[in-house]
Amino acid sequence: MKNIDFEITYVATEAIGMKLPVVEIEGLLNKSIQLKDYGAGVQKIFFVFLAVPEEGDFHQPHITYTEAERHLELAFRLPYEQTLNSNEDECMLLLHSTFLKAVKLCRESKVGSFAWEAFAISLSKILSTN
Amino acid sequence: MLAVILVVACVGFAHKTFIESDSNGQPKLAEWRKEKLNRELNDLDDAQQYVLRAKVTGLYPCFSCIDKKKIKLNAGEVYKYGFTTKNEAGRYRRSLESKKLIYFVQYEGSITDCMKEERRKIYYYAVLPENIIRVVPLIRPPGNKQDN
Repeated sequence: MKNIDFEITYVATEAIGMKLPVVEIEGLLNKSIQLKDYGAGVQKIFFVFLAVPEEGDFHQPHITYTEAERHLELAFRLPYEQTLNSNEDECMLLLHSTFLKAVKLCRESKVGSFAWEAFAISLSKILSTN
Repeated sequence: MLAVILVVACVGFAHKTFIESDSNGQPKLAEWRKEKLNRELNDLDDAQQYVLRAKVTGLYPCFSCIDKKKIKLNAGEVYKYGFTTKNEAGRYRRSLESKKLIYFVQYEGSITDCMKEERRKIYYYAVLPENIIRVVPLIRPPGNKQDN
């Protein structure tokens, strides 16, 4: 049985509701990518999209890397008003661009021992064709 | 006596002084302790009440079921109500990872108000349509072990 390399969820207001297609993007990534192909430094990516107004400071974007488990937690903001007014297809594009932005930041910060450049290229290809 | 307290106070907290003397030689709380207290008091005014909903349709651990350990939830149905303070917020691994749940903010206010909101929602869960249609309705959401 294949490992679950990606786990994706979100934090939102009730106004956003269940429209963010995180299950679809999680399924797509788990089907298409194996993190071990890019090095041993990251074994799991747990991604939390933050769809809450920016004025609150309860839910802050962050990158947390746990070396012992090689676990990466990424929490990144979606543009709240835009997400609120988007349909599911438009939300999918917002998820894609936010995920890619997060990976770019990890690449720049050289988080863990991981081929971020190659990973970003693969990710970009997969997300743009789906 | 004050000297003894100061020594004990220092030893007990990794050499960081938490009792100081004022200009009259009277004991007073160290500035860093006062600041920490104020931060913690502010946090109590700043809480959030949330609901965790099922991310996908499937089986979820059930703490309020009488005769089974798991319950089938449809995507979007309530799993648990809770509240959190700013100090605890953002620890998503503990509350969300490997649990197939989504976090929705329902109310923001003081910790007392958030506790009240949480309590109301736990009790009134029993009459939500998604619960009423069950053969055996639950007394509280599947993820809430107790009423409080």
